[in-house]
Amino acid sequence: MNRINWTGIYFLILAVMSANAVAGLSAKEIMIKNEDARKASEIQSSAVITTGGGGGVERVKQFTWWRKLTADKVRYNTMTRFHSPAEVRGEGILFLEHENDQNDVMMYLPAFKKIRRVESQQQSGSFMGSEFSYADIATPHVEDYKYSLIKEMTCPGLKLKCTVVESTPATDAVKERTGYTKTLSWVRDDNFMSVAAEFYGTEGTLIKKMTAGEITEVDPVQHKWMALHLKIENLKSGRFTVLQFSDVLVNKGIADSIFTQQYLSRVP
Amino acid sequence: MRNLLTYVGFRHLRRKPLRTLLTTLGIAFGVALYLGIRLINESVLNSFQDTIESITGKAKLTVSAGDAGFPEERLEIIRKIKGVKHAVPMVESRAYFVGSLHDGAEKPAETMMILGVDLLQEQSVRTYKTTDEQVIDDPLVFLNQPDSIILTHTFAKAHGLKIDSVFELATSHGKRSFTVRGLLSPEGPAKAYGGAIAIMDIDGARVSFGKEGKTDRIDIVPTEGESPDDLSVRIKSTLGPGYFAERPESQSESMERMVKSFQVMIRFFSTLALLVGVFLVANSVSVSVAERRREIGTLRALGATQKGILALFLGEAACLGFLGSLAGIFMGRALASVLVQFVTRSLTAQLLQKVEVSKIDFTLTSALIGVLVGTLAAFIAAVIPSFRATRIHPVEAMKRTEAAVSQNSRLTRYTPHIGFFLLSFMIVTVITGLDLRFPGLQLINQGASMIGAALLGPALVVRLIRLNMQLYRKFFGVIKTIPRLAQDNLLRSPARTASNITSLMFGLLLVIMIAVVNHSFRTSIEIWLDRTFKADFLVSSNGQITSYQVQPLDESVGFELGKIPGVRTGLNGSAYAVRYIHLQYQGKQIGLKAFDAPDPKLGYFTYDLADQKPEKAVPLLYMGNEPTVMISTNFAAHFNKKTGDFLDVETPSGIIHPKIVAILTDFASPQGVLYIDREQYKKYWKDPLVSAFGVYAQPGVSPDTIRKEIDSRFGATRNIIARSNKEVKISLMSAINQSFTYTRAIEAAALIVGLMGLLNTLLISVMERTRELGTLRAVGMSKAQLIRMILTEATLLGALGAVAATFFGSLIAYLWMTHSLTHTLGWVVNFYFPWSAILSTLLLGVVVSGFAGLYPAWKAAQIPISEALDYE
Repeated sequence: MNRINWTGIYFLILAVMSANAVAGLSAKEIMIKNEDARKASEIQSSAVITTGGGGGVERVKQFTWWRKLTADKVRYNTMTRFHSPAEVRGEGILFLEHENDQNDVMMYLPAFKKIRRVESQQQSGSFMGSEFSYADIATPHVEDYKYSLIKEMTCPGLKLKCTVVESTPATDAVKERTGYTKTLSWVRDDNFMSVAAEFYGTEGTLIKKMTAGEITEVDPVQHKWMALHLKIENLKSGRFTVLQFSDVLVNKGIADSIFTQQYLSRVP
Repeated sequence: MRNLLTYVGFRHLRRKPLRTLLTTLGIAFGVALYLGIRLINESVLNSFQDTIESITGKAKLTVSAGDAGFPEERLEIIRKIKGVKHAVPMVESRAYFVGSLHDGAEKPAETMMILGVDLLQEQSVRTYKTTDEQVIDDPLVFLNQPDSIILTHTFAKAHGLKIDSVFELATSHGKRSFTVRGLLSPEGPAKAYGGAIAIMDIDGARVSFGKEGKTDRIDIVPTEGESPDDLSVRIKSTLGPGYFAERPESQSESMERMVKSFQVMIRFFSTLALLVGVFLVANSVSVSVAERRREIGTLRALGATQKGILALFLGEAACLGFLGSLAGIFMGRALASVLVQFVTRSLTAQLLQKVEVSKIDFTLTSALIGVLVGTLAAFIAAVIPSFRATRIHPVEAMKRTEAAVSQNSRLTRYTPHIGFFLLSFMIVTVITGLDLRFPGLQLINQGASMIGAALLGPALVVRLIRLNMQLYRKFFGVIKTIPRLAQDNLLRSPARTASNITSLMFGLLLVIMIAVVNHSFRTSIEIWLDRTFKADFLVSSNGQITSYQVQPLDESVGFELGKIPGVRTGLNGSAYAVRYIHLQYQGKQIGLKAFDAPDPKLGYFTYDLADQKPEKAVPLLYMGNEPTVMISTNFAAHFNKKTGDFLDVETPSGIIHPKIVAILTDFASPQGVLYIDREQYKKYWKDPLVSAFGVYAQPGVSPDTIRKEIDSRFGATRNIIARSNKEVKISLMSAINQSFTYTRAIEAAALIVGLMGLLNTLLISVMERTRELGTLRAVGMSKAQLIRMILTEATLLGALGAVAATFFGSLIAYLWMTHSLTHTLGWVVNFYFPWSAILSTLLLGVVVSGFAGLYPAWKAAQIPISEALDYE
């Protein structure tokens, strides 16, 4: 009876330590973990993007998506190839992330058999008519922002705990590139994945809201996660964009040749 | 002084409501026309500026190479030049809106500017705004579909179009369908060209408008700290000749330079209307002074100083001027709204490019300027008569003498001499060319010629009355009593006659000058067109072919036309093609016409040569490897060139040095036109497009049959139309008429002010002669006879005033057209006397003056004899 239940104590300490570990993390540390949780080396997936709302027509497009971590293990190269509807079949977008956000974005237009470059300034705007901006699609880098912890609360729509982190651009360049002055992220305490985010514009007004669902551990070995359902809403225009991923393949070997202009202009 | 003005001045104005109203209206009309034209001029310039600023956005330099464009590969070269931060390409094309496919019936062609831009790069230079921030509904579809187009909300609404609507435009490949995939608010680039604009992706625009592989302009944003001027030099030296790297301001300035002379001309006309108003005020104050001699004497006897009297009359005039100006600014604003479309149409016809004004910029400053100009004009007009008022001695003024307005003062005695001097000054400076060396003289000459004619004209009228009497006596014997009395009256007081006729002379002078210019332009162009345009049809896309505002066609259309049975083809098997583009030559915009080689059997009538025989000179244009050119007469005058000289012409392929083989007549551009072989043009400008095809029927083939064939082959599907020779001529003449439409308003306003002036002075004349008229009535003249006498005086004044105006107006217009026109407006135009216009002006003079004489005649007849005899 008097024997101390060391196992119980051990788990109690672990539980307390674990709780303290999340609670004790700085905002930046949470976001580093957030970045790490999403950082699968290679991802290939099918996807459907739906845009609509704001009185506009709802449009659905299907595409395949390849993403591969570059040699610096920080940035990604991404290739997107559209399959439907017919008007966009064969269109491709090659997104090559570089240092200092000097990203190259190239687009292939099969109707003209031409590769077109997207000017960097254009990259703060909407990504191809969706409510995502190029900046939303590019990998956010921890060093680009300053963070502060806002509060802990139950994750919106989930029975899980979340920490709300505020990110503000570290430099004017980042602000200009993203078009946001502040972002609030609801980060799950258990796996550090964001389940919701709010984006604030130049005058501090809330302009967009994002929710992430179907958060799935796509790489159980490396503990990498991915939100298979993303919805972003523009509060001013009432428009929304939904991204639904399926058939996700992780670390199955994606050739580097996919991320080239030659591949971009090669319509399957 | 304030009391004097309040108790004496205003009371007088209230007691003479008709005169007050006439004078105020005279100023109002003058100010209205002056301000209206000023507002239009400002709005046209602002519209140019808006268009250029909207299009250039953040760009500090724009690279271009003329209408034909340049290879798109130049973009990458420019991007690599040190100091270039962003370089964004654009193609521009004017298209014709055919209508919505769902409309059922086709609507008349409506022009719009298509800007083909690289939407993936645009944000570095231009920002497009919509109400919901979403310009393009689906960029992925937009960019990949060549038929994608963005319209302005206004245009879409006006034509019942929305996202995904399909409509048709005339393109270089004929009629094509386009799908609305975006809508713009009228901000940023959408403001340009008055909102008649559509945006396409650059590749789609290239394919649709025959500009594959071409770029019309590249807008450059320099790196921070980079001087645009230095960068311009680097770009020019990298690209070589034929390319221009200009600041947006220079483009705006260049447009301003192009319209400046036109604006000076219409400002001149509008200022004249104000001058008529000035004469009216001067007359009105003179009458007032004469009428109120006793009042002035009384005031002076009661202690009013000379300064007080001066201030009284000047104050009255300024008040009238102020009131007239207030009315004038509102009338001017309304006039501007009506006139602007005529003025812009005229400018469009002259510049061969669309000039659109979306709004009249009526600012507080414009209103204040209107009020200031009107009030000041009235004030200045009153200075001399007001000074006369101060000279009236109290004792003299109290004596019972008849009011004498138009007394033969030293000034009025010498008026004709002053007029003669002013006219002589103008004639000498124009003939000797001094006015061209000292541009300020041109402005002085404008005033000198009009004032000179208006001052000398009345003297001529008096002589004409004398001559008329002498001739009448010689051929018909005794003149009837009433006409004789009327003429005697006019001769007895030349100063009064002069005062009566001056304001009307101004109005009629304007009418004559405008008629001469209009008629000379029309006749010169008509004769030239008859000589040079002999094709049975002119085939082009829908639009205004007479001003080359058509969507250029692919040259393959010419070969298709050549295959129509009965069509006479050129040496290359195609219908005769002509390409018209604008070109920069020594910093000025000129025109370039590239023609296919003519078949010698057909003749060389297209070339209206001034200094060579066509048989000798035309073959020189098409022979040999080295390019040769013909130049228009105005080009020769502007750039001091002659046959045998060489030109340095910048082309997208470098500078060429063509030899001038002849000088010819052409009216396509105010700064001049070059004619070149189209094969050479294609070689150096790399532009195979064609503006129009001349189609000739083979001997014995009915042109109607060919037309039917053209319509059936091209009309419905390609939006290509064939206009007959007669239709083209009618259309061109109608365009010329349209470009002079705005002058009708100027003529009308000047005549109305002239009419009011005459009405005013005739009233004064009746008032001056009250006693005399009473005497005539006392000795037996009936009321009807009195009315007839005054009406005869008025109509005689009008008719002879019109004769004098015809003489002086024609003289001034002749000198202007033969000596200054080429330098002022650009063209070389022969002088043709407008007989029919002269006749109608004479009639107009009689009608206007007869109308103006009605009320004074009636008023004179109403004066009781006893009261008239007692009149002081």
